[in-house]
Amino acid sequence: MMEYFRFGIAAFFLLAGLFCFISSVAGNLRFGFVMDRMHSAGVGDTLGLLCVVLSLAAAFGFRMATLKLLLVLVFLWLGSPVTTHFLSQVEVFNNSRLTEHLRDQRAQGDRQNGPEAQTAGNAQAAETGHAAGTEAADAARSGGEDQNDAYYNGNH
Amino acid sequence: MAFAWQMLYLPAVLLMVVLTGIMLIRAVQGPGTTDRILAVNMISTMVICIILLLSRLLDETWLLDVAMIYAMVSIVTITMLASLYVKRAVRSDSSDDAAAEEIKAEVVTAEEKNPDKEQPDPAGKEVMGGNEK
Repeated sequence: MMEYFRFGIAAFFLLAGLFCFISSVAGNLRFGFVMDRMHSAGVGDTLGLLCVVLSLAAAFGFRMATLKLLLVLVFLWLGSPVTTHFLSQVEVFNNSRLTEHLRDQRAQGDRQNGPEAQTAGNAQAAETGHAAGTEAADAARSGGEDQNDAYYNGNH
Repeated sequence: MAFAWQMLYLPAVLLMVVLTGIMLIRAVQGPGTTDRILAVNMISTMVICIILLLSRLLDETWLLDVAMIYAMVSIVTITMLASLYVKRAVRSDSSDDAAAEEIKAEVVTAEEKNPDKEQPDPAGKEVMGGNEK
């Protein structure tokens, strides 16, 4: 009976951990800017590892191995923010157009969701009677991808 | 029941191996140094996860010690890689940095005084390399 309970907990946490790692890898491949990729990598380092370690702790039971598992978790939780910080330092010190790129991204976001876009969207909806600003949003979104490519093409 | 445990963890290991292989795409493609170091970091973390899962599959507890040591190795590796690839020259676009302003003013006044002679390099830009590709 107890073994079924342990199996259930282990299975649940293992599936959660695998989902976290899948989303971490998917985020890394889909984002266009390296800071976003670092943000997505953090999900795997923290929540993914926690769920997998909890699943294995349920699988091992109350043994010495569980304490070693938790020690692995502690090491990675202590060291992963440090490595992420160093990687962000590498990016900030290595390229000269970071502030420019962030400013452009911010401007693009304001264009998409700012007050002018919303009033223009309301005017468009009043005229045509359907959802507002789809063409403008598509144009702005593709402009954002071009910005990411330009950021990399000019820099690395 | 043992078969059930194996059926639970064996597909998990295979899936993690596939994810690790997918990260190699980012390591090869990633336009930039930081992307590649980040991919190596993620591969290390996922390999640690694979070792932990294998220790349950094969029923060997010493693999947990291996995972612990590999975690420490990966942390030190990424730290050293990051410190090697940081370019510590003065950034040429830092318009709000007081030191950069001073150095630029120095170079400008030196150019005004002797336009034909080779100018001194107070920021060490030629040595350090600035922001080359």
